[in-house]
Amino acid sequence: MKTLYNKIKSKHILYSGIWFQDLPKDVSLDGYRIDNVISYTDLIISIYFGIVVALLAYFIYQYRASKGHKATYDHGDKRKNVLVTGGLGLLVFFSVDAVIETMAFKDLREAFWNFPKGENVVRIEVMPQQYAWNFCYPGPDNEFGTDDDIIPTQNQMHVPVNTPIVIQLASWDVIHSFYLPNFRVKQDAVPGMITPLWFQAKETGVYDIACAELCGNGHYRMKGYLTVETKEDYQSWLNENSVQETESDEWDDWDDDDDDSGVPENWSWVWEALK
Amino acid sequence: MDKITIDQNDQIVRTGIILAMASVIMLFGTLLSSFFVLKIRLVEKLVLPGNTFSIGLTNSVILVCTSISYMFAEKMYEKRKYSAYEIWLLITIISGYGFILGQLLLWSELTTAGIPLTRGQLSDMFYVISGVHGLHILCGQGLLLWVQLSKNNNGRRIHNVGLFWHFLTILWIIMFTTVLV
Amino acid sequence: MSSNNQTSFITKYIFSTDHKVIAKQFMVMGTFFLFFGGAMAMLIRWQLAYPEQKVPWWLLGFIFENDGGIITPDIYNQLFTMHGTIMIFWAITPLLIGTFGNFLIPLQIGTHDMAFPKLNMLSFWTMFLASLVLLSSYILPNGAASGGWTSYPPLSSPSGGIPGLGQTIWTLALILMGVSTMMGAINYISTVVRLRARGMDYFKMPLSIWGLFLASILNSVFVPVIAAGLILLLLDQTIGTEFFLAGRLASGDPGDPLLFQHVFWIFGHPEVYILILPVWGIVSDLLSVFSRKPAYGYKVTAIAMSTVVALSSLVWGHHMYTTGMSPLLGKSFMFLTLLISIPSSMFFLNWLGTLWRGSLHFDTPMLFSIGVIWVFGIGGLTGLYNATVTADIYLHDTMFVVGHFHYTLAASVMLGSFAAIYYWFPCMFGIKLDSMLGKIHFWGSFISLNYVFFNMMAVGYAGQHRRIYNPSEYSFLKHLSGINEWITIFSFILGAFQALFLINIIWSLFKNEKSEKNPWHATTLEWTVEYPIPHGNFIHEPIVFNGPHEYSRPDILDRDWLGQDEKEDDFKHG
Repeated sequence: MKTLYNKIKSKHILYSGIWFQDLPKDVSLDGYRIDNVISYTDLIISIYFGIVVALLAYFIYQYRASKGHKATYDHGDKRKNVLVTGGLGLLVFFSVDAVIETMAFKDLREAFWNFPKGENVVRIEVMPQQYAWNFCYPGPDNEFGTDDDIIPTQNQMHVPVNTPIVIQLASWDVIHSFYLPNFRVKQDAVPGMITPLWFQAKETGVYDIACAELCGNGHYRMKGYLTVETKEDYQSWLNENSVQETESDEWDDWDDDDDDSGVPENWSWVWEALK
Repeated sequence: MDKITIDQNDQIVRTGIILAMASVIMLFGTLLSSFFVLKIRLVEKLVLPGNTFSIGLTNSVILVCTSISYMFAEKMYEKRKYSAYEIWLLITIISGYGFILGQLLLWSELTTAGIPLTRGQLSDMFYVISGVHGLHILCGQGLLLWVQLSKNNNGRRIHNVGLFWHFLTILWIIMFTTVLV
Repeated sequence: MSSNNQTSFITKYIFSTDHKVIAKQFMVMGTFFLFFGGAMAMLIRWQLAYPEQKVPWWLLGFIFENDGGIITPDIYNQLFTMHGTIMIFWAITPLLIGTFGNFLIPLQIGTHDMAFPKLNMLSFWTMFLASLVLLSSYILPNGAASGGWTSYPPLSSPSGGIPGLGQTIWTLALILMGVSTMMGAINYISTVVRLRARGMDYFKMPLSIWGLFLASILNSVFVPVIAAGLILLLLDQTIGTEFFLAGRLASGDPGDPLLFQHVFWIFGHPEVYILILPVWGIVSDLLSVFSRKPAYGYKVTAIAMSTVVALSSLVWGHHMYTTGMSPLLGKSFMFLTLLISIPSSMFFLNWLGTLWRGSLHFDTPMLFSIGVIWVFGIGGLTGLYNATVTADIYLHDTMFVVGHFHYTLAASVMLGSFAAIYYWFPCMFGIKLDSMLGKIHFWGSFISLNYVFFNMMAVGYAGQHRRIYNPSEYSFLKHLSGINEWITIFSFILGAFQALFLINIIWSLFKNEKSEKNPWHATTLEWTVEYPIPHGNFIHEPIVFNGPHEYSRPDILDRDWLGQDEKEDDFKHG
């Protein structure tokens, strides 16, 4: 069992399973954990459903009504029958449920709920609105709510590669959901709450950001772009955007972006201490 | 089809009433739980200012009295003292309306005291809980009227309606005390 | 009880208190909304396959004339919102619980009518009123509700940005529907508890009754919960309370949007079991009838179904894994959800056990029942993915979930409802539906629905998220346009095959060939009365001696079945 598990673990990207579609390319540090538990479930339920189909096919053929053939009068309620059924039920539970539960709990403990701390963690505040993504970076002083906060153009998020990114999500209006398909990230942004999440990118590139909670008529076009770049490129992007920030103050009155439903220029919140 | 006996019918009605009570408990249970969730979030207490608390208290006492008067009515009916029964039933019905008027008074006092609907979460929940309860009392009033108008109901209808009425009384006492704790 | 003066047309057919008539009223209502909701599904699929292209005439393209013949984003949102709402509450509930609950319960337990016939009638007409309220939202200037069938605030509140009254009307219609359901539940439970014929112990009831009984228990306990939530939502939508508003949209004390989600799903999860329980029961019975063999492990199945019912009240959080709940809570919900596998696998295996060593007759109801085994197998197994917190991070709000619940809900319930309709049609209308048409209906539906819903899971697996107007906007989804088109094509085929069902009904009623009594040679009590079943059902209260699945008993000669009210000695010939 363990070797089978490890085999799948190493081949997860290749195993597109029974769904005939591949998972999106995963470029995150911990996304493989999700892919593994999905792959394992793929495998085991294919086996079980395969057995069910085989049994059905066999029964349909073998026990079809024919002359002289009488059904066996069996209520299936003797103790041994119940034990077999119960035993099979427990078999299913321990071979699938218990395994995926163990995998999931382990992954939650080791990765998803194990927020990184330290100097090189990049913190970003993400605030979706109807219908755009707003981002806020703390700037050189690494504090939110100060003058040097960087708020880039909407829908454009940049992060450095191979660096832990910790995000706090809040919503400007209704419930949205921050969805990064290539990082196996999804977290709801609920108004009145701040929800944290973290991830780390392994490869550079430009990836989709989508909204995964119905938020109105423009829900479908809440598209963003996450650019993962080298630390140097990331730093220059930050510098560009902090400069642009002060310049664009002059153009305030001209800025008639209708996605900007009243989000103030310098929004941000005090970073909530992670528990 | 063989006729169902009166006893059997009574059992059936009782089952229906108990199920209805279960559903009503779930309804108010959800409202109360929501109240508590909001209360914990806001770290607040529900305060009934001025004389609104005493009005609420008085209403609760009136409601308990209606249950007591209804019990007397039932007792009188069992003892075949039909005129006494009519009187106690009438007292129950009128006091029932008294409770409803009292609740409306409570609402208006609450509003003038500066806490109208939409003012705050906990007070809004209080309006909702007392309002939904009041609607059920109105249904109960309808049932009481039905009892009054039915002839020869052999006491069973009186008893069954009583079950529902007492249930609403107890429900109110529990909810009123709980939201103010 | 059979001497009742129900003579005028109005009291006999419109405001009837006879459970059989009310059952047929629910059947007409449910079928109407099934097709209405189905048409909406076709339109949703059109948009997903051919985004922003003119809707063809055969898909009622003229409705969209005002917008240049295409479906606009706001209409699209209304389509999937109302599709979900209508299918769950106005199609499945009336068809399974309204029709078969009403029709079967008194007949199969051997009594004259429901415990509260007038309440029964009131329940139907309240539902009718709810239907009118819901449909009225279509004539509003801003159209019907568009916040999803889950109607989460703040989106579903006025400050969420959805214009018009559609959302409010939706809330009102649902409250009325809830009232109707509560009345029905009280009736069904009281009837099963109090009116069973002599000898009809709980473990002698057909499993169909178990399914309907357990569904009613869940209904009576959990519909009031959603009613409370909807009352609070209605107030938020109308008089300006802010129970569910927080953040910037809350002007006073903040409320809690997640509170609504909890209240909704505390009802919502049991609701999905409410919808499937009748199917579980009916399929268990039908497999037995058409295998000429007792339902394998009857008691285990009944207890397993009851266990699932109990557990279903504890697992609602698995719909909310991504809302930022505490780790402990997430883990608890995951564990409890997974526990449901055990009783589910057990009664699923019992279905296979019934077929094993049986004598299988592949009449139309049997085909549909075996179809349910297949689709519920897939649906149940794919639930495992969604139960897992980590996998759900990825799969939540994708088409995978949509595929999963369509397998467990739409496919299983559809096939189950058809099995039931084809099976009990002779009992309800005295006519057997045409067998050939029925079988073609089955195969066409079965093959196409598998294609549609399996591939929905596939595109969800690839990351396509839900409720989006145009998936090709996203680079990670662009490669799915081909498969989305094929899903749509097969969904049209699925829709087209349902026409066969209607044709079968109309043609069979027109041909009017009376069916023999008890055409399926079944043991349960509803087959002991001749069509048309009189008001009051049985002339004398039946006395039950046997269980509901006495098929192929070796000691019974001449016949391979023994009715529940028959004495075995009569058939043993010494």
